[in-house]
Amino acid sequence: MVREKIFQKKSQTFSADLFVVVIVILIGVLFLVINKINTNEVVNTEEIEKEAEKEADLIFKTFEEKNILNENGDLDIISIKNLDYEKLKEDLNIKGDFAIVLEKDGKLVKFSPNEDQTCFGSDKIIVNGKPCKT
Amino acid sequence: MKKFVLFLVMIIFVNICFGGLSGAEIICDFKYSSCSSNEVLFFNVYDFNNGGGDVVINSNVLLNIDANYSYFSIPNKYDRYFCCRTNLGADNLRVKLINSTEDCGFDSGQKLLWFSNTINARTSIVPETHYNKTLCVGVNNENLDLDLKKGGDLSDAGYKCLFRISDTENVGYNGLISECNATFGPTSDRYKTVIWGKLIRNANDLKCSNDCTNKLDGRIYLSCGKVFIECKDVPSNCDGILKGTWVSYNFTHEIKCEFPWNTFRPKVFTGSSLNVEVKKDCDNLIIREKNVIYQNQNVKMKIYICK
Repeated sequence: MVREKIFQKKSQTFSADLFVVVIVILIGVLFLVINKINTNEVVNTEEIEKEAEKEADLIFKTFEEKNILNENGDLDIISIKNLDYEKLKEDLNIKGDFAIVLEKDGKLVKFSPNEDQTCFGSDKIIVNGKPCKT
Repeated sequence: MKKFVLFLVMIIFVNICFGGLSGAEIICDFKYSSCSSNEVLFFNVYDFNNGGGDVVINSNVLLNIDANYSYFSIPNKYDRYFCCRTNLGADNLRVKLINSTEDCGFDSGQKLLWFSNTINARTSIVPETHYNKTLCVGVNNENLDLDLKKGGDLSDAGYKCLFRISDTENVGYNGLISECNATFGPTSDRYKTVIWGKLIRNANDLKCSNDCTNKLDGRIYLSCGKVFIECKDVPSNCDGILKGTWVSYNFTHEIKCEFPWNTFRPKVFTGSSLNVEVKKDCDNLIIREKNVIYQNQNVKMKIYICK
């Protein structure tokens, strides 16, 4: 009788210890997973930004090569209007969609006085309520 | 100390006087009832809500209309009163009907409309042979003049729309009058010319600088042309505008209100704040920008990339 009680007590102590260990391991794993996800997100955002920066630089460089943007910084907007958006995207191997917009002191600048065009690029990007025209 | 206080009081007095004047404006309205005591009746109009707009100079003119012209002699036909006032209290506007060969001749009053001897109730905004009467409008204030302009959009220059008038050359619908927001009529542009009015400082009252601005409020005044020769070419759209401001010049261009009055730019610089949004299938919108020169102005070329 006494022997049975001692055995039962030992068994209870053993399962409680095991339970605590399992919980600690699970919490540890959880932290590791969360940390990993966060790191991936930071890496992804940084990568996306870097890629976007490269693509924007490529567009600016192409404009300079085509003399759409000359060395004085003068912009030839008519040449931009005459570009084929899809072709430009394909030629420059740009994966995402993009749009080019002009701004002065926070205000929108139109592409020409007699037209309402305010941007060049993808219609997924909406400028002042209107989808961008390619 | 006493002198200082007196000086302060004088400054405050001058500010109040000229502050009041700079906010002076002409206010006009088409009414169904006669004009109130602080208003002046310019003319009566017939049923413009139904695309009419025939005008008589005042209701008494009906008595002079030939009974043979039955269309124009219907009693109470001209039931809209075009009443105007200024916001300067007792000071008010004056109207006078004269022969079109005469000058208005009082308080620099301007000719507003020409009438064809009051019998056919049509008007003109330019002198024409068969429009031999003209209505002069002036302001009863020695520091102010009423400046009237025709056509275009002068709202940026501080002018107020008084009324609209149909194309005087369009036979059949010539010289019909309607309110500023007229949208009715058989064609949407029937009343296509806007008549604008603005109270401006009298030339004698202006303290003009040689850049055509008034020393008291820093605004450009056309009337400074009477004082400085450089100001004789001030565009009318710059009248009453702060120096250096861009205002509408014509359909395609804006002009910079600054001597020598020949700096233009195309109407590409809007007053709307830039606001860019994306459709749902674009998770990240990344912006890169570069300073460029466009229409001789420094602007930012922004590239929005959807990732």
